[in-house]
Amino acid sequence: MAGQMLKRWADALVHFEYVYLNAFLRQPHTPQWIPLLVQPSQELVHKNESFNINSIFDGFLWGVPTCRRSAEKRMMRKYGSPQWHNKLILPRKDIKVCGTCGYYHEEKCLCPNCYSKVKAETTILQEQMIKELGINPVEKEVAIVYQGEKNQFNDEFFKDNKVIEVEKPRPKWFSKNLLQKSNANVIIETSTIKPHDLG
Amino acid sequence: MAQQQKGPKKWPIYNKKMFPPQLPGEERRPAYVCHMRTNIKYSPFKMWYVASMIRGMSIDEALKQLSFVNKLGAVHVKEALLEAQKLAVEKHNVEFKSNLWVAESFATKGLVYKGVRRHAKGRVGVIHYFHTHYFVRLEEGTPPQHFYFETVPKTTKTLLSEWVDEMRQRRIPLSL
Repeated sequence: MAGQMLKRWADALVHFEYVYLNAFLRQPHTPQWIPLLVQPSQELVHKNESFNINSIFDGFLWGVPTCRRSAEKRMMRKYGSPQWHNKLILPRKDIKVCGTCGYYHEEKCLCPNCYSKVKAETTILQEQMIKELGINPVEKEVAIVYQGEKNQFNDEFFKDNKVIEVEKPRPKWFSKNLLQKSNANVIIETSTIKPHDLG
Repeated sequence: MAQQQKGPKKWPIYNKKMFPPQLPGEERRPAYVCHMRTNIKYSPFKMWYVASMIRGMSIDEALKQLSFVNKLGAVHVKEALLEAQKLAVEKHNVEFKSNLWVAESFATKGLVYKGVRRHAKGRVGVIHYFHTHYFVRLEEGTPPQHFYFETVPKTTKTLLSEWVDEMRQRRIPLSL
């Protein structure tokens, strides 16, 4: 590390000499005691070059800014632009109020407050199911019966379904109708009603 | 640490300001509450975006919007607003807690701890651990229609004049 530093300083000094001393003093590279037998060519004669400030960065200062960031660039980075990329946080217009609980939620999502209640109930039911069924295969339909609902069902119900009894009352929001199957296999009898009392 | 006791102290003093009694015909001066939260472990440069969003909103709207901003600063700002609302109702003679709006909301730099990090080739870099102070002033009443000038809808007259200016700025490149 120290060696690298020394080398870097040595290089910098050589370059400093080349850039500044030769530019200002305009001394040729050949030693003084050798007589100039040949007229110096046009190449050796230094033209009147204006000193470019950016030449100080040639090998001396690295990784530093060379130009000052303009106000426009600074503003664009900080605030953005509606046409380009808006960095400002804009108020959202897709926040709705839940009709059931009154909490706010995003339009695209379900109400987290209501869903958390549903999720909690579901985990309780799942735990009960795991306790009773275990890892055995399920051949019958699984029916959940809450506290105080056992009398509503007949013996056929208990034969056809695998009944899991849960030791808690049914939540108010958990309607029985949620588990009703679609009527794909149900034959709906329709009767044509002829118009009457015409004219 | 001695640094922990330092921090802004003048903002809550505005709450203690005594106004002279109002004249009979004078418009009722709305109640206000100044509240602050100091040395939040968050960058003031990032907090600026959250603070500037809620300016000019009613307190309910601000709390609703802050719930859906994905920034750490939003949590602190929301808590500060709720504290300020509570103070307003309990100590500053505000009748309805919903009848408040965000009159002032800004964040400043707090404590800055400096750390060190390594770069390539044995070089050393400085890391800044920023803290921020957040200030809010809630005022009683309905918020103004347009707090920021940019949100004011442009009239047809201004839109037309702007369009005409844009058309006139057009140039044919490499023309005489």
